[in-house]
Amino acid sequence: MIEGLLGLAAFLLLALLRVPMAFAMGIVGFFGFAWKVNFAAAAAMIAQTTYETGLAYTLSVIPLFILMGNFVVRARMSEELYHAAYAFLGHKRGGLAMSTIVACAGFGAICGSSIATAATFTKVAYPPMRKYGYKDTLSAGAIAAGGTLGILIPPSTIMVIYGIMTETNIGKLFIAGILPGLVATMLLCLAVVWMTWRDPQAGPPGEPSTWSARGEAMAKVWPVLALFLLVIGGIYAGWFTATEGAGIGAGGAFAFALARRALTWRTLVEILIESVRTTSMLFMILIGALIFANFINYTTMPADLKDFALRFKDTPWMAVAAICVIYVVLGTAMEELSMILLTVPLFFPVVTALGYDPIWFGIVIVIVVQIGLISPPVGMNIFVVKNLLRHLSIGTVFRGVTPFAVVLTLMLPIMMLFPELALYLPKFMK
Amino acid sequence: MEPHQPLSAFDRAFIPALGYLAAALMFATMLLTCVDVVGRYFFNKPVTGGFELTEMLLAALIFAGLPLVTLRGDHITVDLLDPVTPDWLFRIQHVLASLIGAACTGYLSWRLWLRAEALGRAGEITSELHIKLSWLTYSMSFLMALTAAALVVTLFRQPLRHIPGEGEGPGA
Repeated sequence: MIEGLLGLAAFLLLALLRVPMAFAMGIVGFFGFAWKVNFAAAAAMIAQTTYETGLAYTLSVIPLFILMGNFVVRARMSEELYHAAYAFLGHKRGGLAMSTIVACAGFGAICGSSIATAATFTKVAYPPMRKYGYKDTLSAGAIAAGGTLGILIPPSTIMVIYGIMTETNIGKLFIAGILPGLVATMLLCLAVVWMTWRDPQAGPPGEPSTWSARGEAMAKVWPVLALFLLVIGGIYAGWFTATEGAGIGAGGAFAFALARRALTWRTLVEILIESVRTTSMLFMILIGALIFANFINYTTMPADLKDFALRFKDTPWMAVAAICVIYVVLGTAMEELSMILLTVPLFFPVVTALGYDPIWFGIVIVIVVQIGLISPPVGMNIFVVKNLLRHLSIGTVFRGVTPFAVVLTLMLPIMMLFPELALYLPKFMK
Repeated sequence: MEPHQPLSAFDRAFIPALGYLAAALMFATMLLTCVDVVGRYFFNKPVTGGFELTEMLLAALIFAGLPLVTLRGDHITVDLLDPVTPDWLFRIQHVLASLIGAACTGYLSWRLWLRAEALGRAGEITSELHIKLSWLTYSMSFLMALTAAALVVTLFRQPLRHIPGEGEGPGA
């Protein structure tokens, strides 16, 4: 246990010295392993881990989903989604904010990144909200929070990473995210209702739409629906694996972007390079985390944690609740990807030993990441919105996201009370 | 590619070439997966060696992207304290982090080189297309060395304070 804690402390020290996360984890993992086993084994282990992670077929799912998301962003499918949501919700109080959240949910069905979703809707949804006199707290909050639906509604980068680290079926994780995603969408909309009930000036209603206009707006979202049904439907029906689905999704999104004349040679190359950069960054940190995990697995830490948790055998929910609290607290200050890469190898054995389903825990992990992304002071989605809307103060965005972060936190007890939300749909998969 | 940065010849030499290489690899991965799936389901004829080709493309694209990520200073870093770090400390942190990074990637590059030699001696080839695995591993080692070189280059540069949320985040 002591060596594990020492390792974590050394990692934190390096990280605070501004050594990139990937290297900090790798160094501690390397020297820790050398100390527990020997130097030659550690040297072989890092080369082995790097080589095998680079050459892992299932991991090609990562660049392909990233590429799909980047094509989808460029194809500007977000605008039709927003218009369709607006046609149904725009005339209500706070309706434009609700439209934003619902459109984000729709966008999440074809894009696996919450940052890309938030960035896209800052451009699409903020101008109309400003036009109708929405308060900046509400608009910024709705966009930052709606963006997090990108990772709960499949496809999802976080689910892919969790699936890889824990060897959980990625396809099943995707399907498990659908119902919680719908519940989270409703909760976020309720947060808008509550905010505009307290302050009706924050979100005045927009113009009502006729039923024919609604029909027209809905008809225009067919490409989104088609891509979602093809990729996620295909995975659900067992036509293809998550990796193959990702390839088809990227190809489909490429075709749509091409058909909409959204691509020039230059933008195509840009999208491809950007996808590679994101992929490399992710793999770097993934390899670092795997090296670190190799060391941790040689310490008594995982077993000790498990023994400790098994004392709660009769009330396992208490252990899981404690883990959730730890995550929500960590998520306020830590970058979320590093947080889960570092902690999932420790908590996963504990949670499964207590009898929880790995798929269920995966959804819980996604939800804590969502909360982390919009909880001050360090939340990636907050910064994304703030950077695209430079006239807003960071305090405005903080105030705006807080009610949404609170509401998302409610998802955790909901998932504990109704685990079937995550586990019902995957039951029908092979 | 700021013109005032020292050693910008390094950027000019590698960024465009690596960029096009990375783009080509990414596009090929997508195309290969699509053709493979369509071929298997509609024509009952998957691409020969599609599986191992995907693996090799993946490894190549990850490693081709690393020097690019490094030159842009895009590695994920704890920047919580950036706004309150004094300038002199920030410079020291930058030098230290670059040196540590260069040491890590340099060492890893060397270990990969040794592995490539071992694979070459053992005559390891892929099962369907009989491609020599040592070639791929030598390329991985080379690109890792280039990443180490990029870290040394950034050592001489004005460090950029990270503006949170600027550029794209990781994958979240």
